[in-house]
Amino acid sequence: MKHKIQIWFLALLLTGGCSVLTEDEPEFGNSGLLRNSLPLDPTIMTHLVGNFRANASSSLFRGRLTMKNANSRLALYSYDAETYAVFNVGCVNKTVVFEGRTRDPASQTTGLMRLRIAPEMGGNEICGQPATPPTIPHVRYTGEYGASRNSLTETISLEFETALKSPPNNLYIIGHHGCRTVDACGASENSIEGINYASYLGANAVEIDVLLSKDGVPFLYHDPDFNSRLTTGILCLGDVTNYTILLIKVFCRLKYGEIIPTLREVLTHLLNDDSIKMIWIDPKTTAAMGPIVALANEFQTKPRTAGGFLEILVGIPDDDYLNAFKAAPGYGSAKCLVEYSVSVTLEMGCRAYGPRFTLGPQPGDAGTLHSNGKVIFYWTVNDKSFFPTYLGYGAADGFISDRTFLLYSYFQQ
Amino acid sequence: MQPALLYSRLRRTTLAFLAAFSLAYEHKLEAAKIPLLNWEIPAADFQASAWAVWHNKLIPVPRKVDSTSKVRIGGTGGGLDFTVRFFFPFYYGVQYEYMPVYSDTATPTIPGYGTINTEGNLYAHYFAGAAYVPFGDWLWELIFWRYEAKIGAFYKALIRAPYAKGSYGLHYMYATLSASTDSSTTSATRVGYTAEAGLMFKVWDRLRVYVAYDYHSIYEDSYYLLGIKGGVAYRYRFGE
Repeated sequence: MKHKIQIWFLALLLTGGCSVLTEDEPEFGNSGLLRNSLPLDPTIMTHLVGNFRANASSSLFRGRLTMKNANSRLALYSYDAETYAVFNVGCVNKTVVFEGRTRDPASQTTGLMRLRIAPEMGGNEICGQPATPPTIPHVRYTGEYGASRNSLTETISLEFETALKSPPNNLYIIGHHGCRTVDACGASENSIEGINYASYLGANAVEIDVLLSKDGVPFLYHDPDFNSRLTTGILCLGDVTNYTILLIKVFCRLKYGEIIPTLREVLTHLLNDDSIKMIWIDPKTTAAMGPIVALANEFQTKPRTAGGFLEILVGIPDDDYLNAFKAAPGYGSAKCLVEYSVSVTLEMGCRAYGPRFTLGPQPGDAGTLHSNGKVIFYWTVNDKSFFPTYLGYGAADGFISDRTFLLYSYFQQ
Repeated sequence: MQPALLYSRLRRTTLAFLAAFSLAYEHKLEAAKIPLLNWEIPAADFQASAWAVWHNKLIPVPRKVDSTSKVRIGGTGGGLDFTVRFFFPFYYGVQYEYMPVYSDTATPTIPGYGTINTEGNLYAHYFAGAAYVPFGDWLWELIFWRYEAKIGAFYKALIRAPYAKGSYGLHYMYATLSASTDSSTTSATRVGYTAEAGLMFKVWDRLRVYVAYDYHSIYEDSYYLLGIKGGVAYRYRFGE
């Protein structure tokens, strides 16, 4: 008996442990209907948005659903289920087809959804040549979704309820790092594509992280080293300060394959994208402060394609960064955001105070800031149950969030 | 097939095999010479080995810098280990291995920089704990020793030859990079493990030679190298 126990012990030593399952992101690929579609007239997008109700109970999309457009994409948010889908859109004959990924950030699951607007439900006009607004009062969506393109078994149809309600005019819905790689939002964080996804997900502002390359170029990245959490590229590893910007562009890619952008490239992009009104630059090294301030001063006076100017806030997370900010030439012209002190915010004449939300709502500080023409942003708020408290008692002017679609759809309920 | 399912089948199959084995040979185990099984603590065996390894596959295949890239996968490395077989019926100890991992030479066109020359080389120094499992010796010590007179020297060597080895440790990765006039060296540590299966033959007294198939995972970065290795081992039993 003793020997059998010993052999079993040996067997467990040899075979014990656990394995990790990984999933590839589903996609329609070559089997998608959009493969042979015609592009939709962008001016017609506004006739496709609104608040809808699914006609049957769905675990993935339930309650009031919000369809919103940003740039050339449409997105569907479920406030109750805390899920979303981002679509590509096109016309297949006289049917408007939407194809995209669904995402449940809480369970980290991704699937696929396909919606249609049938010809008699508005497709005839929307896909006409030229495109015209639908003659029926409101479009109606039908479609299906599932875990993969071979299992689109759940059906769904959307009936119009109300037009989109605008969030308060001055509210900043700020995408954390643009959108987060760990949330698999569809693009890498701290990338131009991620900033685009932030706008698809309801954000009107973004917070991005900036480091300095070996040759002194500020670029978007969060961690002090290149690693498999954020980047791909077998030759992309180690301390980021070992890399010049050229070496970064040659050897490194972000997780979804994007080229790591410089801050200048991002600011140039935002001059042409009016869906984002503000960028909060979070320096990850004090050495980057000088070049960041110089770029902020350069770009905040450049007119945007759609008119107006991009609001650029330089983050100051502690005293070391404050000293670096004050040492930067031209810092007096740059707008700043202090993360750790209301008094420093006021002394420096900064535009905003940005405390972490776990410090609690700060109505007294908010009152002081508002009376001095300043604003208060809380970070990083992902739980929708905090919105009423921080908007009301906390007098928030904005939130950084990984789930900006929840904040946008909060105002649609 | 899902990795977890494969893994589960492997585990079930192994457990079933060992259960059947234990039932079939329970009454004969008294004669076995495996320390863990006869519940004795014998004198230690010491084994040191050195090897050369040639990796020629890297999975997944890395993204090339450019369509002009000329890449080199793996290359020739080498290592050594020091292990002891004491109380447990397998050898355990430490090992070191050096290996080239990847190289890419290209002439890409980069916006703002024009067409430039680039070169990147990645190497690794691997420091790990290692376990050498002498399956062949086990078979001999459990079963075949009693038939030594009938088996003969050749088949004895063949029976005793199979072994497996695993290791788990840290890679000190370093890369040399150049693009146009920019150049740099960078480094990082990465967790990884190895698994190898091979044949080891006694050639003279305490000297053995071996060949093996090598799987070398840079686990933390989700890629692995495949290759073959060959080496020599020196084995010494204290108290003999």
